[in-house]
Amino acid sequence: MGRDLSPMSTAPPALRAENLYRLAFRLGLLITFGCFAAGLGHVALSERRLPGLEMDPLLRARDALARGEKAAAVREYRGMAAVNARDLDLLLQSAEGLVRAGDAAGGAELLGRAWAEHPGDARIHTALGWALYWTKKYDEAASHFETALRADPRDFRAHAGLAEVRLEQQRYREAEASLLRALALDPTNGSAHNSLGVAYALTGRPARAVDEFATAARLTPTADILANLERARAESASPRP
Amino acid sequence: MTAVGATAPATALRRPAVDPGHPFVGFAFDYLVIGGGFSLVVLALLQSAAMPAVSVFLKQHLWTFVLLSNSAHFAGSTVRLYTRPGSFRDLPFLTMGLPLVSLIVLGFGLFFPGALGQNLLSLYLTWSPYHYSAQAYGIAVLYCHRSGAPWDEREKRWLRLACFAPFLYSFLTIPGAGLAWLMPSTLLADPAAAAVRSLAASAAQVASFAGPLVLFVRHQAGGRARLPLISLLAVLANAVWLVMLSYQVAMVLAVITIFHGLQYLAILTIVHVKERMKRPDNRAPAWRHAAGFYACCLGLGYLLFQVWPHAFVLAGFSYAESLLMVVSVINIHHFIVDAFIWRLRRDPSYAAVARP
Repeated sequence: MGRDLSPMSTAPPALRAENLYRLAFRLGLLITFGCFAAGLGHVALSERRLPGLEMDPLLRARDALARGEKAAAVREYRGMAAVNARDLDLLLQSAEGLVRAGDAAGGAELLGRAWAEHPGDARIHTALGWALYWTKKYDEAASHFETALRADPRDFRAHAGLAEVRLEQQRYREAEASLLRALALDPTNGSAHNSLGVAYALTGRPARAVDEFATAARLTPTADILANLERARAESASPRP
Repeated sequence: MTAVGATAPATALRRPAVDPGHPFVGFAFDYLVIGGGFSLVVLALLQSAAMPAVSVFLKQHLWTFVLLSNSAHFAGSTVRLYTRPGSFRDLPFLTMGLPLVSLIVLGFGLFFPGALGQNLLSLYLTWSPYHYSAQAYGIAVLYCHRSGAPWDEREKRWLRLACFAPFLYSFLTIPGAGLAWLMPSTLLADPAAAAVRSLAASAAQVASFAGPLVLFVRHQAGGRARLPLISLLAVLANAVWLVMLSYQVAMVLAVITIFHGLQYLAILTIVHVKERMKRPDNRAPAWRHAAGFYACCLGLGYLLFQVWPHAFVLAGFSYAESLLMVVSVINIHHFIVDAFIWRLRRDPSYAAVARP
């Protein structure tokens, strides 16, 4: 009997490991499904829908900005910068977002960090241009966009930024030229199509404006764009005086 | 006629000039999806801007395609792990321990975004092109086996080198990951170091395309076991994804991940279905196994990428932090699981999968 039992002396450690694995698995499963339930419940209760198909880390920040919830936007942009400071493009987007949300100091800090790590990078001029645009310093913004474009004529955001400045300055033909260059580089940007629609509408070309607003609405169906489309359609349909 | 020629079977004497490879489903499907041919067509349209409507359509439905392909493919490795016979017995840490370890790492990453979170993100971005290259190598070797070509270790080493040149290029050039992550920026900014890095990147860029092409031509001309054309296509498609296109541009990156996911899901589903069809108690047709497997992958993919980040928003973290950390940890978990579930030579189902 004693001899029969002797092999058992090696069994407990293996059993212990197996039990630990099982425990870890159950715990992992419990936490994971708890997270799924919490995530589903959170979106269902707070937004009255199921989680959508977005995977853009800055989506919530932009949504918060669009709703005028600046504190929430600042939190999102700061969170983004904390995790993803090594990606220059996203860092610069966070900096611009912070400026736009009213946290100019936070934006300037991120821009300074970007400049320290990538001195002379044209993309930083573009971001500075946008930051200045959001603070309504249009001449300085245009100067930075132009510097960026001299270094990289294929910088979509610099073309788009320069176009926005020109729209604000009511230099619509220049805005149109910049937007056409931007859209030749990226025809999928809803905001640029919308701005081009605005340029067309303000220079008396409502039919073209409708086309641009319609493309913008397909790409980014925001309330602003849909309203522009509706207004342009009405103007296009109404007889000219 | 040589002695070998005199005894060789007639079929061996009538080999086609180029071996197209033995397809799993059919030539069109294998070349377009598994070989990556369709991705090259779409990426050429995107890059040339010849058809802006294609770009607009893709942008409009980008996240739907990402869910259907890429998210499902991440879930696919997990579904495969837990549905593979004997996984719990053979891989106890991977099946039972790793999920909890991943959750703990995710938690720490969220609480310490600067110290750990950033590094998890950089690790995933560094590992990702390695994973892509490993997949290209795996597909190339799989089709070699299906063609009945006995490759020795030396030949496999050359093929592996050709497949991993795009990874080397990515490692040297990706901003915020690879070398840029591991080396101090002051050192990389040194002109001599920058020149060496640039030279190495150019060499890797050339090797990414020249390597597989030279290997293919040598095998055609040298009377060796031939590299099937579909293997060459899979390796070159990966080189285009990682080297020729700007890996960091969001839209292009998303499209590449969609096609990588599609390629992965196709192979994974084929392996799963072949295994299920071999079971003596199987009554279901192949399509039902495939549909069931894909439905599981899709459901889990949705929960992992679309639902999970919101749980951490509820806990007080920003959506940006939550999403990036969840994506990083899922990627790393996928890379680890993937490294084990594709050790096919030790897998009894390998012969069935590789057999034409």
